[in-house]
Amino acid sequence: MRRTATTSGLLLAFALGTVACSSDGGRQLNRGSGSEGSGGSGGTGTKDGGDANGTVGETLGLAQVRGRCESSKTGPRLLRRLTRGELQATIEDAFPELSGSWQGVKLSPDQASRLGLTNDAAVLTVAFQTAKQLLETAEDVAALVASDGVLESVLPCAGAGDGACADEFIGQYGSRLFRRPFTEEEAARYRGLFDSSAT
Amino acid sequence: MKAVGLGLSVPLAYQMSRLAVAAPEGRPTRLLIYFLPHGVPVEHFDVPEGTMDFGASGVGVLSPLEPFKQHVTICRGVTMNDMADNHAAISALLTGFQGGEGVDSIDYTIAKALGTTAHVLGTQPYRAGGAPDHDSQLVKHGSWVTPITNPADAAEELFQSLAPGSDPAPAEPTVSEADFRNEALALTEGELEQMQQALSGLTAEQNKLQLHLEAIRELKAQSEGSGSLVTTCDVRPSMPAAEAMVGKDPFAHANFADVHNGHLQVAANALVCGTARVATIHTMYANAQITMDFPGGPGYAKNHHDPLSHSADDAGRTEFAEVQKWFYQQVADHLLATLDQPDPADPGHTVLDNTVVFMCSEVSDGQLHNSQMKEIWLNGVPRWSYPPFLLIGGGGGYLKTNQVAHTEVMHTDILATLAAAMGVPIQTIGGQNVSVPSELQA
Repeated sequence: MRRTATTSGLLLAFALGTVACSSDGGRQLNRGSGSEGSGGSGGTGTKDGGDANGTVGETLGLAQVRGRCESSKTGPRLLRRLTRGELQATIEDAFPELSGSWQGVKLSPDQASRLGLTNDAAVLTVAFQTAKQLLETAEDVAALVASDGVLESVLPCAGAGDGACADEFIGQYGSRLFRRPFTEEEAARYRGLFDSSAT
Repeated sequence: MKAVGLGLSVPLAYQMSRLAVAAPEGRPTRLLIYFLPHGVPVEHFDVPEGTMDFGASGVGVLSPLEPFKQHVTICRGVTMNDMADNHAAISALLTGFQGGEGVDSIDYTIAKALGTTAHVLGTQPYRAGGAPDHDSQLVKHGSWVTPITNPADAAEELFQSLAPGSDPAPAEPTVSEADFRNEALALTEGELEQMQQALSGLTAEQNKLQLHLEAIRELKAQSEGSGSLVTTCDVRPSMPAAEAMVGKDPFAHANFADVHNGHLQVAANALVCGTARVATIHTMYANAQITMDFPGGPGYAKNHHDPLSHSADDAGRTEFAEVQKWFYQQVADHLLATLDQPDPADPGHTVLDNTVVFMCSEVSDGQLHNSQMKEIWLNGVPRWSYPPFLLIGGGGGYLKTNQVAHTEVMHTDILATLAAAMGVPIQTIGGQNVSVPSELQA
């Protein structure tokens, strides 16, 4: 039971740490400039609470549109929370073994921006309600993955419950859950959690 | 960067500790906020000057509250703060400011100060099939909260420590599981602190991350929460309307009454049992186009928002008043009647004595869309229209009741009154000074 619980705890940490909130890792993202309203799909303003997808109701001529395209700038880096659907897909992709047994993410429907967009990074923040629901989702997934019959499939070495198996798990699932390359520092951090839990 | 995070949280921690010190000992107070949109036709709501005759005006919207009259205060003359008006006032109703910019709703401020959870339940609180949007932004806990829409789910949330019927209570998490959770949360906290380094110069993104950090820290702290009441029930009480909603669609029109009354039953029983101390019931939303002909309802095949709340003629305003009266009747039957029993945690008083129920709306007159005290003309006769704000319950002895209080104040003073009644007095909301109207104090 200890190895199951430890794996569960590790998984929980993964889920909490990865799907809840992620930055672009320092890369410049070419997203719409809020103030200019020149963004493409998913363009998101960067001002607090802004829905800066251009001035509502403003009609631009072709020349104006071209002019704005030429003067478009790369927007600032954004912190994006996964949408409800993105989180669902991420977990389903990482753990296809849960198909049929997992009830799905416990997040409330994503709040819409004033323009009706439900993927606006300025709106999709992680305050207490979302954090709590992410925790509940993570615990659900962790319990299912660590359950008998599933864990052996997800992590055949789990019976050993040792550090090497933890490293395998972290290496195999870290990038898939973070949706980007997993750094050594991050791997070490999760290994540290395993070591702490295992003692 | 870590210091930045700590620096931002220190004032908050100081404020919370100050509030906690201000809490009185003794009376186990509770708070229930009930929101119903689109105001009320004042000619069917107001009581004659110098009386508490709930049935004297038109159809008597207040008449369902007659059995609880000694617990009621009508706050006559309130104006919404920040010039919040019309449908947009929904976001200012509990935060004090339009858009709730930089301010949490009062339920959250109070719950955090008490170290307990602010629950939010909702009857179709946003458009069916749509996403929560600005028309439904009522409760803000760092960000706008999406209410629990099915009362069956609400019962699970508010009574998680009590199994249904006589079933044994579910096992508490083992110590090791709790440890795992806290360690995982601590790891996440550390990652977020580190992530702040990548956000140098991006104020909006730092604020976003800070919000996330505080949420994680609150999750950690909640397991040690000391502000909850002692649970006084052994089993989950019977809540028929909520139980009827198990496995059903809370947005189905046919289920509207069960959803609405189920939430009232869940909230009322949770307050009695002490499994919840602060809750909000969010009924519909600004612009709600929901017909009032659902089974068990008021029986009008017209939308709540338009045409009902927009009615300008006598017949239409009477219909809207009848509809609003139906909601008041449900509050009386499924909430107040349950609260009007000896408090298991304080047998010398009723739960209602120890509770403050705040009934509110975002506008005064649905047809005029005013959210401030305003003179309006009806059939050639001038009348004062004001947001229908009621305080029901004694608030642990803090509130004066059975009265019409002439509270010509900004509504933030009413929010301050809620906080004071709950034992966590506040002097400012969003940097603006607030005070409790003396008329409201016992």
